[in-house]
Amino acid sequence: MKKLTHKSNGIEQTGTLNIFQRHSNGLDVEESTKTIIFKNIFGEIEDYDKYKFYPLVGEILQELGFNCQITRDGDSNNRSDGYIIDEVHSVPIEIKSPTEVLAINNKSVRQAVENKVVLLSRKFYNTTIETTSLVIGYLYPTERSGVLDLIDDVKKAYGFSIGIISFEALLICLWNKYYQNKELDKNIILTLNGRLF
Amino acid sequence: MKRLNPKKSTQYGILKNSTISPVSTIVELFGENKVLFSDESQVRAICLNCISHPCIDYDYEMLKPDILPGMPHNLNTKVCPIDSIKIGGDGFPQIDSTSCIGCGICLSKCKYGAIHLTSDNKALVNRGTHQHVDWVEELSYEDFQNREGAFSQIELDYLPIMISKKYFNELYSKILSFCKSNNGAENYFVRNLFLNLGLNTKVRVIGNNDIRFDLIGTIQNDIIVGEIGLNGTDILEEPRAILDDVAVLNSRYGFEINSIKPVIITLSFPNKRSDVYEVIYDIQKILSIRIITISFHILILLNLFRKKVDINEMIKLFYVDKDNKSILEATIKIFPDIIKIDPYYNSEFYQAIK
Repeated sequence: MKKLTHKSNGIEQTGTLNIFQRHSNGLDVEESTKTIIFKNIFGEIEDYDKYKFYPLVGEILQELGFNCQITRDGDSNNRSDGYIIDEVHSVPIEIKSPTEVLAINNKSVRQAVENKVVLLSRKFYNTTIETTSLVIGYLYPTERSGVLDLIDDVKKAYGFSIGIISFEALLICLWNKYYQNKELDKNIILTLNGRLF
Repeated sequence: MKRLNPKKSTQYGILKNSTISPVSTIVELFGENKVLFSDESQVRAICLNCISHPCIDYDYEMLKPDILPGMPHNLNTKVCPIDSIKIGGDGFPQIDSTSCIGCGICLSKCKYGAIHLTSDNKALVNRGTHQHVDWVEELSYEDFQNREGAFSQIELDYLPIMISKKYFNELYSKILSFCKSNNGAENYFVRNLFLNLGLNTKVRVIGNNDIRFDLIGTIQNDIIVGEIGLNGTDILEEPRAILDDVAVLNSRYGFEINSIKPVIITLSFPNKRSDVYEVIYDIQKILSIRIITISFHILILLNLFRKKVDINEMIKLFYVDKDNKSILEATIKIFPDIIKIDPYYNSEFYQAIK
């Protein structure tokens, strides 16, 4: 099997503070300050380009317990922006930073379908047809965009699951893990079809 | 005192003698075409003036293939995407040489061979008369049938001359510039070229996001669905768009995936290092979807030389992927003279070259 080589996992090491602590501005990180801290985080990252946003997504996925790799820029052979690497259910990830596109759109889903085909064909990592192909973007698509319809079409036609996750949904998962002791069931992500929540 | 000129009546050419019929048209392309008659005389190919003017408008029915009857699509009947050919004051088709870009789409619509390109790459409707033609103001059904029948049997002999690179360079520069300022024009060019090849297709109306495929049509029991990218679109977008098209056609309209023949129409092939060839291979390997790539340049050439090709054959032959990045051999199979007439036969119009 042809394995991708990564010089590092592409994820910046940010020290011992988690993303909520880094954006607390001196507040205690707890349920009562959650809204302010989330607001602080969104205020900062809405201007993030791919070079800042992708590693941040990678960092959060790692903290959620996934073995995540962000693809190095310029690796054209490898179409995905990142991977969750798993012994059986590796997941290609298409990431859209807020400065690339604010909300996940049909184009992102198209890329996720292609990522799935490429991974199944080129076998960089082990995966199965049932395993999802993810799109992680700043915001969820609007209803009018037709993104969820396209995800249904892809499922019916090819049997592929395409999961979409907004940055907020990702943050909520992490918050729940740290501050509500609710660990995310990884299988929900690995088999996601449509919106996380 | 100003005199009013009486309006001239429209005239139609008919064959003078039903025993002397046209045998072949000798196509010069960049010069006046000739018609060889059965008495061995050779005359200039001239406009005999049709009633319905197929060089100006397509038959409306051609624009409505049965597939997806509810799909909003471009119903513009005009043959010339630039709208340079119109009926003149005397009732004959006339080409505006200022706006004509010389694409040649109108050329193949004239069964009399009366339209050719001039030395400055503009289309011209050849007018005049010759010994085998009489002119009438009212075309009888019999004369019409006689004329149509005689010219529909005619053979086409084209002179395999090498076309200048300048012609193509100027043409593509003008087409791309026109498409840049006219949203949807590239789809329109391709639709008309396919119609001339005998494939009835329809193209989407720009602005309707529910219909994402650029072009759709039927070949026997199969469906052809096309993505058109002439305007420097990211070529990697095209296979992705095809996957979207096939999923929608299968899921929403119930077409079997193996009956869908996806086609990418591109102006030039991406370089050898482009991952698009690998992706096309991956799609074939994993989903058994065979994506065909046809260059716009070949459609232009087939049209200029009035070639009628078997579209099914084309679909079978024009496949590129990581193991074969050229359609030159495939093109030679359907158009053997291509290397005699095309100065670009060894270029990115046929294959990955760098």
